[in-house]
Formats: sequence, structure tokens, C-alpha cells
Amino acid sequence: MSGLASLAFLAVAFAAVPQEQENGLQAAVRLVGEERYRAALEAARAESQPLARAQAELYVLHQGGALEEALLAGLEGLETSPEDPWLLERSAYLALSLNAGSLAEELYLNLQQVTDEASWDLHEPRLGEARAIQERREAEALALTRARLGVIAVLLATLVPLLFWYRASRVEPE
Amino acid sequence: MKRARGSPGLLAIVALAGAGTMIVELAAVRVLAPWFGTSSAVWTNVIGVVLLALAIGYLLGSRLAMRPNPTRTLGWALLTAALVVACLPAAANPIASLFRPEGGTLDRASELLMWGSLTASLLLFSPAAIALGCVGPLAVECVQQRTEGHAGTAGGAVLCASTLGSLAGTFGTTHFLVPALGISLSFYIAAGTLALLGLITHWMAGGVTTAGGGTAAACALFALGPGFQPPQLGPNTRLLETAQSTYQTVRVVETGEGPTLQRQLQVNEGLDSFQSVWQPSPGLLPAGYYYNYFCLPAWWSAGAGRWRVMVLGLGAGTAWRVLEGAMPDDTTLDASGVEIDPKVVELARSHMDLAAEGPGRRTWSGWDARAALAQGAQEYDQIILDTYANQMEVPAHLCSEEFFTEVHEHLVDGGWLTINIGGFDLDDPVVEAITSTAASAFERPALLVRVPFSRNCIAYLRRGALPFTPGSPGWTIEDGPAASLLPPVELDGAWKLIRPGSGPLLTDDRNGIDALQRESLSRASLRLARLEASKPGQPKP
Repeated sequence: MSGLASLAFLAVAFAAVPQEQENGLQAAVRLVGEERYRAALEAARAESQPLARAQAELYVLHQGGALEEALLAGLEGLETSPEDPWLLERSAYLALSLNAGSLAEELYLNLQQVTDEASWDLHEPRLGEARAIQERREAEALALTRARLGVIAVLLATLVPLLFWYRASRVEPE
Repeated sequence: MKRARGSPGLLAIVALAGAGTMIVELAAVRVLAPWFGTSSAVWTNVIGVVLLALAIGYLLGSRLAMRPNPTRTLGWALLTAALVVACLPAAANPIASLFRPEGGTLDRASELLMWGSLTASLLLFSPAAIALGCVGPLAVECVQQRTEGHAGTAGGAVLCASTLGSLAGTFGTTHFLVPALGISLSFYIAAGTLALLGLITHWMAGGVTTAGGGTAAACALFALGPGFQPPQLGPNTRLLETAQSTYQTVRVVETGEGPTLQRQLQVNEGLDSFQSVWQPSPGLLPAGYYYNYFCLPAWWSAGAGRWRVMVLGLGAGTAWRVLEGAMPDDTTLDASGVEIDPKVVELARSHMDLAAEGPGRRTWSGWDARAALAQGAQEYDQIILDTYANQMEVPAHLCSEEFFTEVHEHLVDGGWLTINIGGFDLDDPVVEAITSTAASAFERPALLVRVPFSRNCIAYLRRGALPFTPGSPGWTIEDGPAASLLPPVELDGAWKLIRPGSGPLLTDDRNGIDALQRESLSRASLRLARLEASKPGQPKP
């Protein structure tokens, strides 16, 4: 069969079978577009393929403003599909939005491994943001330690010399 | 016993020193506010530190009083206090910044605010309070030596003078010094007065020494310094105006340009929060702002004609402005609002288009929300409760069963109470307690909704009726700006019905809201830690 004949055959065959059903993600996107969030989430959860289910759940929950739940859905999907760039990118972005700096950093680093350089250039600034959150966390932890030690140090530095001085300057009754 | 010369003068000095102590103590909270807020934890830390330092000062003074020439020692105590107080405005920023790094968020803040404010208070305010604590026993010794009378008589006179001075300092600082002159000038006035008193006391003790004069001059030099420097604004944020009010430091900041132009009214801010927000046109704010969800009851009760709303905690009028632009076409807004801080209302009128008094707009400026509500007999279609103090605290008297009963009495049949509650999810202890308390007062379940893209929840209650719930008749809003607000909150986990008595009951007598707020913050911190500890699957190398 010539190439042209093959193409004609495929076209006829495709037209003869029923249109492929939309998967969970496609249904979720459509239903969210129609502002039917509950139906969208139900469609997402009914999806049998784990990756598509995780993507769809994350999408609906993120669009509905349930950021933490969306991230958890994304992380669950990454258990089975750790190299999916779509899930990695959105989960990392959600982690960033929730100020989970170290998680966001890890997800962005994973994303870096699975995307090409041109795509990664778009996400690289976000990795910087994740690291900035981490740095703020570390600064906060350091400040907390400093504050706790500061209280002890100031009290010791004030009270111990005072006690010694007070005892030394005691006047014996005549 | 005799009435010696100089004794009334000494008592006047003691009174002024007492006033100085209170200026330091009350202005201290304002100094810390930009970094740590003015929550009850911060107040407790400042008062605790000042009391401890005063106790140390009394002990120190009692020993110093045994030395020869206690009048001169008293002068030194006053000069030392003056010098330390003069340093405070300039020292606040470098010291407070050590314990509050920039860019913090509320969910991580609770421990840092507690410990940071305690250490900063110790470092900043205890030296002055120790020096001022020495004044009392030294003055008692001086008075007793001059009068040659009983120790108790001298002590009583000194305590009376000191307490009266403290009283004057308390009222003067809160109502005049800080609001009218600001933080730096208040401290400089206190330092100047103490330095002058120190010099007078030295003169009384036989003459001013070079060292004494030098110390007073050093105080004057500090007053010429940079003064109080609050933390810097974030990038791309413009300060429009800042003011000290009787209650707090208030400022209006602006971000963005053109369609993204936005103004925020912030109070005592050092964290990622604000009290009110403004955008050029009235109506719904972008997603994530809880104010949008205040407009739902007017749509659920479509065809009301005139919609009488009372906003408790008006701030700069964001709730009004959202409602003004998001009411059903056949409904006219008749809005009242209570704001405790007149300075907030003043700034809002200058920068955030808060409507002036007129038909359909009434502002109770300078009133407490509960007092204002009790004052009027009017009934409302909707009461909005949005009363926050110190970034994250709901005042206890505005979340008690008795208060919600008063609110219930001010609603028409079928009228709505809408409460904004800061909380990290629907199971947040603060959210649960406030909503179930309100439900108990209304004797009906409350609908609790988590605002998408935010850390706020909104509780809806009705007088004599049940609030609508997702899927129930009356819930859906067919068109208009409010219609798009409902679908996202229909998701599982985004709403729930809270029944009366399903959580702790907050009353005027027993109100554990402070402890619940601390628990809320520490739970949020734990949740974040758990999230951070999640280990995603690793891609293959």
C-alpha cells in the first residue's frame, strides 16, 4: 500500500470509531471553566490513571483556592510519577505559595533534572525565591535562638553581679 | 520631726521621675510594635521586664542609700536614666532587628514575637527602669535625713509623689505625648526632664560636677541623632502617610500602578498583613480577599430594596467599598460602620475614599464596636464583624456569647451576621470557637466557609433562620459579581456547618481566645513543618 493510501485508510478508520472520551484532566479543565468545581473534582477523582488523576485533582483544587490540598494531591502523584514536569512545576509553585521553602526548592531541583534548558530558564527565578524563603526560615530560627539565649544572658549578667554586690555591701547590725 | 528645706522639691523630683518611668513603659510598646506588634504577649513582656528592672533598681537603691551624700547618688541615678532613655529611639531598630528578621509571616511568628519582644525589652528598657527604680529608696533616704522623721513617713510621701507622677505620665503618654509628638520626641522629653532633674539634684547636693554636666550634654547629643527608625518598607512600596494614634502606629502604603494600583492601611505592621485595602474602583477585590464574601447575604436576600449594614471594625472602609460596587441592582446600600481609632478614619478619608458622613453613610469614629452597637436601637439586615487588633487578635469582648446575643438582637428577622475569622483552616481552634459560640448565641447552626487563596474563614449566621449551604435551595446566585464567589467554596473541605455547642464556648466571664490564638499559630507552624518534611519521589538520574 502506498503512503497516500495508508493515510486515507487511517482517516477512514478514525472516523469510523467513536471519538475518544476526555480523560479526567480534560474533564476537570472543562468543568472548572464552567465553574462547576464539585463536578470537576468528582471527575478528577474518577480518573483511573494515577498521573492524570493527580494532575486533575491538583488542577481543580488549585483553581478553587485550596492550595494545601492541591499540593498534597501533587505530591501524591509524584510518588508514582516523579518525572512528570507538569506535576513538578505546579507542585513546586504551590509549595512556594505556601512558604514551604525547602519543599519548593527540592521540587524545583527535580524539575531542573527533567526539563530542557530553555524551559528551565523560565523557572529558575522561582528556585531563587524558594531559597530566599529557606534563608528567611534560617534567619528566623537563628533569631529565635538568639532571643532565648539573650534572655538567659541578660538575666545572668544582671542578677549574678547584683547578688554578689548585694551580699558584699551588707551592713552588719551594730 | 521637722519639715526640712528641699523636701517638697525632692518629692517633685520623685513625681517627675515616676512620670518618666511610665513614659518609658508605655512608649516602649510603641517602639517594639513595628517588629513585634502590640499583642497581649508583648504588653506582658514589656510590663514584666519593667517590673523586674524596677525591683532590681529598688534593691540597688536600698544599698546605694547607705552611702554618704545620697542626694548626689540620686542625681546620678536620674542622669543615668536620662542617658539611657535618650539612647532608646536610636537603639530600637538595631536591637529589635536582631530578633525579628525581615519578611516573616504570621504562621511562623508566634514564638519569635514572644521571645524576641522579651529579649528586646530586656536590652532596651531594663537599664532605664533599673536606674529609675533606684530613685525611690534614694529619695526616701534623702527625705528622711532632711525631716529627721520616721522612715514610714518619708516612704509614704515618696510613694505618694511617685505614684501621682506615674499617673500623670500614664495619661500624658497615651493621650498627648505619643499621638501629638511621636515616639522619638516623647523619649527625648522624658530624657531631657530626667537630665534636668539630675542636674538640679546635684546642685542640691552641693554643686554640679563636670561628669554630671557631661552626662546631661551627652543626652542632648543623642537627641540630635537619627531618632526612631521603623523597619524599611518592602520593595516597590510607597509610603503615603504615617501617624501615631492613641492606639497604634498607622500608615497608608501604595503598591502597583494603573490597573494594579492598590493601597493598604497597616497598623503596627512588621508582618505580612494589613487592616484595610483599597483599589481605584469599588466592587469585588481580586481573589483571595475575604471582603468579597461579605457581599453574599445581600444577593441571597435579593430584592431587599434598602440593605442596612453595620460594619463592626470598619477600618478604612474596605467592606463598604466592596459592597458599594457589588450590590444587586435593585438594592441600595445604607451603611454604618464603627472604627475605634479616629486616626484610621482620618487617613482613610484622605487616601482611601472612605465616604464622609451623609445620607446612607454613618461612621462611629472613636467608638468601641460593642459600645456603639449597644448605643443604638437600630436593626440591620446584615452586621459584619471584622474586628482585629494587633494583626491577629480578636478582642475577647467581641467574640463572647453575650456579645453575639447583643448582635442577634440588632438584626431583623432573617438578618445576617457575617464574621471574618483569621484561621488556617476550618478546624482552626480560633475559627471553631468563635463560630460555635456565635451559633450558640443564635441558637442555630452557622455556615463556615474557607475563603479561597487566603487564610481567612467567613462565618454566616441568620436570625431565626438557617444559613444556606451548598446544594440547598437559595444557595445559588444566578448572575452578578457574587455568582462566581460560590463555586470554589462548594468543594469538599471548603465549607462546613457548625452547630451550637460543637466547640468551646467563649463568654465574657471565661474567654480563652488568647490561648486559642497562640494554639492556632503553633498549629500552623507545625502544619508547615509537616509539609516541608514531605519527601516527593525522586526522578531517576
